[in-house]
Amino acid sequence: MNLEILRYENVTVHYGRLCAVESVTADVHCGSMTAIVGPNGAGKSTLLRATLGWHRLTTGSISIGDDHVHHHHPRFAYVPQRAQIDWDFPATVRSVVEQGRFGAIGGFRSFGDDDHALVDAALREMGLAEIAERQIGQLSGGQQQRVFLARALAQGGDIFILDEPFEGVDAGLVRNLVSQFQQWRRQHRTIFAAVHDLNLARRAFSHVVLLNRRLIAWGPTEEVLTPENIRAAYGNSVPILDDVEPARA
Amino acid sequence: MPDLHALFVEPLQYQFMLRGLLISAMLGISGGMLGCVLIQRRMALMGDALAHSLLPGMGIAYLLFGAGVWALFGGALVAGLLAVVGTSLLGRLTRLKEDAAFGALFILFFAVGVAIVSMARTRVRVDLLHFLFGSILGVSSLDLWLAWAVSTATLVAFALFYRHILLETFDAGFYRATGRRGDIVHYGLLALVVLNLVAALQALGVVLALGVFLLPAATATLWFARWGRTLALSAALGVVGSCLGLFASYWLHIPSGPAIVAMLGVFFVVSVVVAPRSGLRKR
Repeated sequence: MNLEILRYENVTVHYGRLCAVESVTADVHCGSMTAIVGPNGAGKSTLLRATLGWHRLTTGSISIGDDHVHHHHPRFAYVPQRAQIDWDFPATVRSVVEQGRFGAIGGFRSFGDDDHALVDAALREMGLAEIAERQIGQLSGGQQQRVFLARALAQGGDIFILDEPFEGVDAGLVRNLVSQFQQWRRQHRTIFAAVHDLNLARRAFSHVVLLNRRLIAWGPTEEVLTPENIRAAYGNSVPILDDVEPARA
Repeated sequence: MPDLHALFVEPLQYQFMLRGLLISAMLGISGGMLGCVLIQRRMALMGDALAHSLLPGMGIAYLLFGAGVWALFGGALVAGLLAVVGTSLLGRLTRLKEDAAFGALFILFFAVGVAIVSMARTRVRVDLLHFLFGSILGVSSLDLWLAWAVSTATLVAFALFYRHILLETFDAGFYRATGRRGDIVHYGLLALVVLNLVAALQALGVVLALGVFLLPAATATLWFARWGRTLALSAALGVVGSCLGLFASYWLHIPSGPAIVAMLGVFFVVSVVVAPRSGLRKR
């Protein structure tokens, strides 16, 4: 049985003349926690966005879905980068989480009992029920991050696509996020995230796609994040080489 | 005790006041709502640029077809849409950012517009000031019908596509992730802005028309932390401010456009000082 929920076949993406991602061939295993790792400008976000269908592929193809009975047409849940959100926007926590139902009910139908139940459940699961009526700008950084995870939960996605979920998040919250992802994984959901912190990818993720415009390597984390591969991706500017060397011994 | 009858009822015996109030109320609603969208999308100044770019279309239409409402409406509409399409093309085909492309095009359009209107003046008597700042005296029944159609279309669009507009404005990436086309929402909103600006030209002129959009919206965002309430307050302010402004223009014998914008400006300045979300008092 084929259990690769995302399959990238020779994927190339251009912005005008600039080549952002070049002939990437890799798979994302269903139920894995896969990190896209690479230096700035390596095409991490581009690969995520191409997966969501926002970029036309110059060459190649991305096939979505595996042989699992529920995964012929898996649903995406997308969590944007924190920096992309206008936190002054007149929106409450609940109203943002309700947006998660938009894909299912469309622009016209009103919220049914099921939808309200899903929104309430997502708010509770993320510990936001008490502050559901607050404006999003009045939350702490961790709460803000959880609002968007709750929206993704309310979407009911099979594949969680996260763009730099750990960006600007303090250490304690990183731990919470990771355990949240692991819980989703146990529910047979797939986590696919752009991560620029090499250490974090090594500690928390089961699989890694190592990218520097071209694919360097992909597969289980310990097989991919070897010193040779990291040097190939980062050149001489490896951020944490000291931390990497002992692994060779 | 001021004589309320003299202040508010007597002006209504004049047809131009009735028409002015009607057109102000209608465009106050739709302009106030569109203004909220423009502000949240950080397109306030782009809207201003768009308003200025309508002038050459009106000038050319005037030269070719005279001062008919349809000619001016059509000319302004074509100019506005050209500015939107031109900006989009410049943004895609060159390295210019969208605001730079808009800025460059609008000032060019505006200069051409002033030149054309001046040329027209040597042949027939046209008042440049009329185009720039509007005149409530010139509102015809056809203008009223156009404003009614445009503001109804805007209200219907907001009712039908409320969630689309909200979500695309708040988080365009997420909107696209639900499999929908954000550019359709974007250009649909721009088209509504152009239509509303054109409908507001007769009463307010190209320079001041956007005031009815932006001032109520900017004021409303200072009061509420919820999108629906912000929209509602902005529309209400648009109506009340425009109508009060028009009365003020009657009482004080000043042009309608500046009077309306100044009245909306009073609400805005007061709100900056006292509104809960303004942030001024926290400092």
